[in-house]
Amino acid sequence: MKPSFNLHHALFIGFCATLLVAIKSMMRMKLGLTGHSMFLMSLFYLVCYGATNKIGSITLCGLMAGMLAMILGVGKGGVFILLKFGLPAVAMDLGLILLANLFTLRWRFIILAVIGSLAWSSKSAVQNILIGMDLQVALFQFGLSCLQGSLFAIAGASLVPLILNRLDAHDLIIRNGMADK
Amino acid sequence: MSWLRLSHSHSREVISPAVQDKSLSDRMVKSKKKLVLCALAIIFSIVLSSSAFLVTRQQLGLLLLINLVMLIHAWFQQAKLAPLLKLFAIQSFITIGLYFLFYGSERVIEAVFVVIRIILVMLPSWWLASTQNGHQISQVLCLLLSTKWAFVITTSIKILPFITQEARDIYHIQCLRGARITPKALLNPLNWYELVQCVLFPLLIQLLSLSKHIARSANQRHFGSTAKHTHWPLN
Repeated sequence: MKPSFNLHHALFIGFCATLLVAIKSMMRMKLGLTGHSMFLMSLFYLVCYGATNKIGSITLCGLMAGMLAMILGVGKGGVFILLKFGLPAVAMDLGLILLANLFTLRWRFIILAVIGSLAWSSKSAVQNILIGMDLQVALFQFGLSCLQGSLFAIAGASLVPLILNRLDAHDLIIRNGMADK
Repeated sequence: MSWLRLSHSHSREVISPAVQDKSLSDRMVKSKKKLVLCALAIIFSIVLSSSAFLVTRQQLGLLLLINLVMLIHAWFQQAKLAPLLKLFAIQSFITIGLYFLFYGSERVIEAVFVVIRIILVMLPSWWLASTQNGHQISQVLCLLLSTKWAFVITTSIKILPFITQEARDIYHIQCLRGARITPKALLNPLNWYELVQCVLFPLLIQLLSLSKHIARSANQRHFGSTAKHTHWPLN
């Protein structure tokens, strides 16, 4: 496994991050459900991992998305949006290091998506507890956002194998080492 | 009067290269100053946001004052107050509502303090986004990145209009082909998968092939062969 990304993969990761930020800014309040950002995040992060098949790709996609959101001023902007995109990505990469080639591809995506949504809801739970919110209320919000986030994340993760099949059919990625079984 | 005008224009032509050099170096110094200011603003906003977590209740008043000054500063720069107000409304509704649900009306004061702290965490970020424009933030970030990733970020930003136009084109073409993705048809949740399948998948395929082309053309122009990246430094 080469240690650094070649320009083609780096550009694809950057474009996925751009699309993620663009769609997120469009969907801001249209649906009104918390956790819809988790659908987009798990979809794009797992597509990046699927297209490049390297361990650092999800973290890089998350950091790129955070930096682009900072630059484009999406949402409230500022440095916290870097954490919002970056923490689930880092958690997914750590989970990937632990999982290695354990399950089939489809289940690996679903497990990674659930890990990502857990990281995302625990980030806001830790923020709430640090602010001084009562423990019961914070845990209740944590549980709720965990549930909603996991549902959306699993929905996103189940779309990823279809996308990867399409990309393979267009001869854009080479599926060596990423067999389905 | 015409000879006066002639000598004026002649003297202007003689002086202008030196004047141009001076204005160029002036602009470079000014842009470096703006860069330092932007980096300081980023650090300042990080410090303020994290101090909203850590200060005690007595010092919250001082922090509120600083944030109010920042709010006024951003408002003078024609910032949009709407996202902040929306956040305040939604957060206070959810938090105070949950406290009321769990504890009745005894701990509502505590809930108000919690909401104030949440706003104090988010406000410096909003101030940063409103007062600094994206160009300066991207320059500060590019100082931390290697050449390759700085190129990726600038390309991604430049290509954003193309992506939105492409998405719009794909959507219209698919509607013409009879896909059930008109706004009226999208009220039915079963059609959302069709939206994803008809618009998002082709968009991703286009993006990946575009990235392949850009990478190939950049590599053939010997991108990445020099260590220091080159981009125009002036705003």
